[in-house]
Amino acid sequence: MSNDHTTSGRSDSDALDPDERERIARRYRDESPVESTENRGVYRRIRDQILSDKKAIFGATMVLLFVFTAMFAPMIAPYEQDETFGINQEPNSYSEGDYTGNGEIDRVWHVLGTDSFGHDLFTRIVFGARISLLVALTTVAFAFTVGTAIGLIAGYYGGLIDELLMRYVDFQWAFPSIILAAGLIAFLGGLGVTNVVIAIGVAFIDDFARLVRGEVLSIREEEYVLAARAIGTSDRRIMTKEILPNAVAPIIVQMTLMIPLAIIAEAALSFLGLGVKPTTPTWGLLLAEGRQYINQAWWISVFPGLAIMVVVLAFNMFGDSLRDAFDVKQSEVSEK
Amino acid sequence: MKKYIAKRVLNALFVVWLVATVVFFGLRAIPGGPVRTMLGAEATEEAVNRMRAELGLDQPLYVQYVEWMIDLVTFDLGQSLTSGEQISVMMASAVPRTLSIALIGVVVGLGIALPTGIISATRKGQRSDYVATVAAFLGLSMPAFFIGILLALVFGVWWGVLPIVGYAPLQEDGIVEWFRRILLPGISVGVPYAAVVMRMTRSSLLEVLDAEYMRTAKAKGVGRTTRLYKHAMQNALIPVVTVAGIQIALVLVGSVTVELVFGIQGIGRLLVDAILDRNYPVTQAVILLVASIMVFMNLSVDIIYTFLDPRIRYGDEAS
Amino acid sequence: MTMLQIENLRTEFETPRGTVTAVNGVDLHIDNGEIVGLVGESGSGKSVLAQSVMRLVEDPGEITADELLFKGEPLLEKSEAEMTTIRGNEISMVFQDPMNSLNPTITVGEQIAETVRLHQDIGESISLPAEMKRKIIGASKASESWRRAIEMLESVQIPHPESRATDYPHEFSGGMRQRAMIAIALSCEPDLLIADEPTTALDVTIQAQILEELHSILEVFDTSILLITHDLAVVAETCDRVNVMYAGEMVERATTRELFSNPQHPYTQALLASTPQVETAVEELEPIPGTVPEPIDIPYACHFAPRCPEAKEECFEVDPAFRRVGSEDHEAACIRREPVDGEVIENE
Ligand SMILES: Nc1ncnc2c1ncn2[C@@H]1O[C@H](COP(=O)(O)OP(=O)(O)O)[C@@H](O)[C@H]1O
Ligand code: SF4
Ligand SMILES: [Mg+2]
Repeated sequence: MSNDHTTSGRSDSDALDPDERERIARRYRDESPVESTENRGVYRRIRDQILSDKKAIFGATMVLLFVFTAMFAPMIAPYEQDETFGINQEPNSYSEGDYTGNGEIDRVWHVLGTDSFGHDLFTRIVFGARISLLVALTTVAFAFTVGTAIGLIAGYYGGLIDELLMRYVDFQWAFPSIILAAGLIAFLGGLGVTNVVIAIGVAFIDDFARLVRGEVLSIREEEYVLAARAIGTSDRRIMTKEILPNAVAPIIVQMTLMIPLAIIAEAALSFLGLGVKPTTPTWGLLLAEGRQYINQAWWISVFPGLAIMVVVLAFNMFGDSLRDAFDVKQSEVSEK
Repeated sequence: MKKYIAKRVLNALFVVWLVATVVFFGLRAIPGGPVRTMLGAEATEEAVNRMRAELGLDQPLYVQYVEWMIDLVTFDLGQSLTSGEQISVMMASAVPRTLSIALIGVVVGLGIALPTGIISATRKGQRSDYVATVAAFLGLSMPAFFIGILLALVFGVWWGVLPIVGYAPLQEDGIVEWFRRILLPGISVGVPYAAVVMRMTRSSLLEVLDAEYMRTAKAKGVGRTTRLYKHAMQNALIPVVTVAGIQIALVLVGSVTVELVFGIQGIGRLLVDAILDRNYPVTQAVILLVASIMVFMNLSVDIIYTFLDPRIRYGDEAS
Repeated sequence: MTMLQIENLRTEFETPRGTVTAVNGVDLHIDNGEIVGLVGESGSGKSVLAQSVMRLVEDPGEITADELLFKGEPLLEKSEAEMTTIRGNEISMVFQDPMNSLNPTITVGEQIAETVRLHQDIGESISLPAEMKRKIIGASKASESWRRAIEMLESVQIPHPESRATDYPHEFSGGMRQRAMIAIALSCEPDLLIADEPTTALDVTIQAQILEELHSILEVFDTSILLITHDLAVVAETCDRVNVMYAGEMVERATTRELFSNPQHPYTQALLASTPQVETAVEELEPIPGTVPEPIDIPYACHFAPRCPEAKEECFEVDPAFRRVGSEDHEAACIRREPVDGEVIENE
């Protein structure tokens, strides 16, 4: 045996050069049954993780079902939303009367019964999904837009602007969202979907502002942002093209988790009588009505309540799985 | 530490002042003006002016503002427009009702959340963790007023074991009756709160159990139970306290809705009636009160922190 | 006598991405009073090996071994309760990161005193209520354990140990925290100390001080040490024998003198060429290209092959068994090296 092994890097005649070594190593890796995980894209990893998560599948399915119901409410609902039949009918019962106006007695089936006005409960719940979805999406979109702008500007510029904007966020923090929303309803002076959206939307701004500001602060000093700044990219471009895309994961998670909060907030406002106009079919109003008739007709409150529960549960589960998949910390996004 | 607490108290006072100011200007910025909105479009100019004078709205803005601040400091919240009753008297009757519900809610909530969170974290991946996690998801997904209705239905309507309407003041009807009437509303607001706090307890404890100092404790030969309670718990509780404090908001909001379920004349009822009647003095008083409670809670969290986190207790004094 | 005798130790973690074999059939032995070095790049499995010895590996981790004998006793057969009496008492450990290794909510003194109480019969209760009371109200400054804690702080050169003992870790500097860790580890005069990169996180001047102190303390306590590091200079100064580890496997072992004068395994040679030594100028350092592979089903026989300047096709195929390559117990696992005694040491 030779003694000259102390010097590294010299090559024997049959030693492989680095490229050959890499080629052979790759051949071995390809033959091995385990897929090299590093080479799979982030996107695929996230997709795979979500697809292998039962919670996510359940959540996503129910969410889709909800959206589908809301979109095609008139087709899914057996009757018109304002049609009235026998009042306080039990689940799985029939109303008898001339509802089509053709002089004949119709027998009308109510899966979930009817409410105290004689509306078919199932029909009201199906149409109620529309209001829930509409309010939830628009409030979150509103809060996202305003909150993200505030957070971006505060985090990016820092200093006095940051101080002022964050004082505002602190201030808003002193209001539980429903109380703030109720106050805004008082200020806006009236019931209706638009006022509900503005009220809840404003109440959710701080969550996005705080989240985005935190992300900006952690990304602001990263090399690629500094580089962009060095070559004279405009602030607006840096914020929208460099910073925001990197904060996408927690923002998506936050949005997914805010939707169920918006649904609950809308239901709560309607339940309090501060939401949409009293004749509108919404889950919150049905619950309020059901409370009144709790001794006679339990179904009026229980079924809409279950509808809220299932939809909120679905969004929460899906959001939770997204958070795991995106590897966003629980403390990073807020749950009110 | 004194400096830290002083800073937090000042900050709390500042936020209360800010809220009071915003409420003041918000009221005066109501489109069309509060009096016109209140009296309706048909009201005569004369009536509007009379009302404005009654509310002091005819004075220069800065005079109104100074008076508002003086009123607040002296707890003079004005009168209800509908009943003429002193708002402070209305509050004195409503606040104990809401706080009773909130108190039971927090006690029930923490009573469920902490043990469940600990069990769930220490048995991660096992059956009990799974059950607790699913239960927390359910609790998180039910608004308090729906839980209230379900409880009222089961315990009131079907089983008839607990009353579902009204409140019994502690001093007049004694603790048993008070408790009987406050239990269901309390549980209703406590369950969603429990769910949130439980999830935080679980995740925070899991993170701490993974910390390097926990490995040190094991390497020193500290037993499992002592590791959990002596080494992990205090560290795990730090973020839990934050969440438990912030989420008092959830309990308060819950009480507002649950009061309507159980026919209790708390501040929720007061607020809703005031908004629907356009009774602005009462509306602003309730909003200010809730905001003050929140600020106070926040301050309490900051102070509890100083006991839990030695880095705050002893640190940062110099810096 | 042998302090620690390890044969064919494997530690595996079942993860969603596959089985991580962090330690893959490793042999190691430490004699009484010996200081043994364990070197290798970050990710080689040194920490997992160390934690496996104390059975500190947490959940998805599975430890198996043909032999894991501590003072002749099989550690893998002990109950968790028995391990608790060994950890911190007969075997103790110093971790790499002094910033996070101490509990931020317990005073430094109490963290030392606790160890003393646990393992020494000084008549102080270690029941949960007693421990919680100490934590909440504060430990008694008159107790024997507290006195011992102060003594230990003094012996690791913490100035004003009486007042320092009541400080919380965040009031200590990095170097002082590591001294406190050492005080905890040595408080019960262990037979074996495992120091996992005890100086890596510290700056250079403090590193030297800590090492020197470790040295002098050990002379007093007469403890065997497993010193883990990726810094060969530290090994050269401290250890009697050295083990070199790569991607979960041992690749070379020898006395320190032999290893530094006659390194045989290409990995050891590369490691030496990449580490500053007294004689080499910094410009001559050659970093090893590439990184340690993640030990999930590494498909080729010699784990170092893709980075090895001497690799040939056969290296990917044939397991590189250990063989004697120099004086005394100098062994290396590389098929390029002829065994001096003509024998290849079979491992299963
Ligand atoms: N709990 C664990 N789960 C999965 N893999 C782990 C775990 N702990 C360590 N590993 C893996 O084991 C390998 C060795 O890690 P380690 O022992 O920390 O290396 P070293 O101390 O030599 O730097 C690494 O690839 C690491 O990713
Ligand atoms: S066996 Fe081959 S690849 Fe492995 S170290 Fe020796 S020469 Fe290099
Ligand atoms: Mg390590």
